[in-house]
Amino acid sequence: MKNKAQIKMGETMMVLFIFFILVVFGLIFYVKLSSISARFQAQENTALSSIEIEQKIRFMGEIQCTTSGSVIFDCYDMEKLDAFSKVYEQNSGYYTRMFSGVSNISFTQVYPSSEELTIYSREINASSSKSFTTPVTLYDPIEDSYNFGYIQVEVTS
Amino acid sequence: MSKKSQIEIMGLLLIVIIITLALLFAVRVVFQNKGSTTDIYETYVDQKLVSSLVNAMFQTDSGCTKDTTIRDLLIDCAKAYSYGGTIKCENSQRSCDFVNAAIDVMLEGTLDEWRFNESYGYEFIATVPPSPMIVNISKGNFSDSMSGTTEPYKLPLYPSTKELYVYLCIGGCGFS
Repeated sequence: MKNKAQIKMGETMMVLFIFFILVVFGLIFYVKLSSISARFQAQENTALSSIEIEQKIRFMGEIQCTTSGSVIFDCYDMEKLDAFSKVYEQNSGYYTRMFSGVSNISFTQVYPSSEELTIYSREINASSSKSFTTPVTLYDPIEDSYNFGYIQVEVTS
Repeated sequence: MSKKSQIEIMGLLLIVIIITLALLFAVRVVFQNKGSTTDIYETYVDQKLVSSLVNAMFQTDSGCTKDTTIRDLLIDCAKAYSYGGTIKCENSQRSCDFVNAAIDVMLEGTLDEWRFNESYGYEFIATVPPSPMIVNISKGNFSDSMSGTTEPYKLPLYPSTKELYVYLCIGGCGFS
């Protein structure tokens, strides 16, 4: 009788042991899953904020083309781009806040001739960066011609 | 086999089923999250890329004559394709030859520069169905259409009721 009770006790102990092991595994798994979800959520937020910054830059009134006061979509005035460095120096506080997380903004003309103009560049130590390249029209007010090129915005996170 | 052992086997089976279901659920959650993160950025980039490229291309001054855009040359070429177009450029080329060369330079400076010709491949096609294609540039090995749509940009050919269809498909339009 005593022997049988000991076996029963051992069995119960084993069941409890396995049960607690399963509970511990479950908890570890839950914590891992939560951290993965949090990481993905953070990445998603970073992607959204990168898109937001890129949008802000693309719609900056300081560099867009205008005809009779109306803005031409995805068109940038090359003379305004040239003058932007001076505007940046005069309002550096404003632009530093606006370009927070941005490491490079450049315009490249592809047609009819090749030309590159970097309007903002800063070295940032970051784990990852996203590059947004959008084909745009570059207006040359001196020649009065609309040229083809693209804007490249590097956003770090 | 006693009834007690049968019940124990059933219990074991139940535990195995529960663990399998939990694992399947975990795998699904992990992969679903991974997909949605990359999707936001890639969908945004892909969607604006094609529309921005075609729109910017259309409003670019061609350099053929002082007052013609790429859009004007495409329309002229589509209207008089059999003659190579009616507009004669400053370098003595006709509009069809000129616009083909210009579009090629633009695509080389953008999509080729960004390695789309090596990764997904792309097709740029301008056609007035059922006539032949006036521009047909295709590069790379085509996968499924990356931009998801092959809706053409339509340019009216006044006074005719016909339209010029312009396609730019990253990953191929399915014409080749």
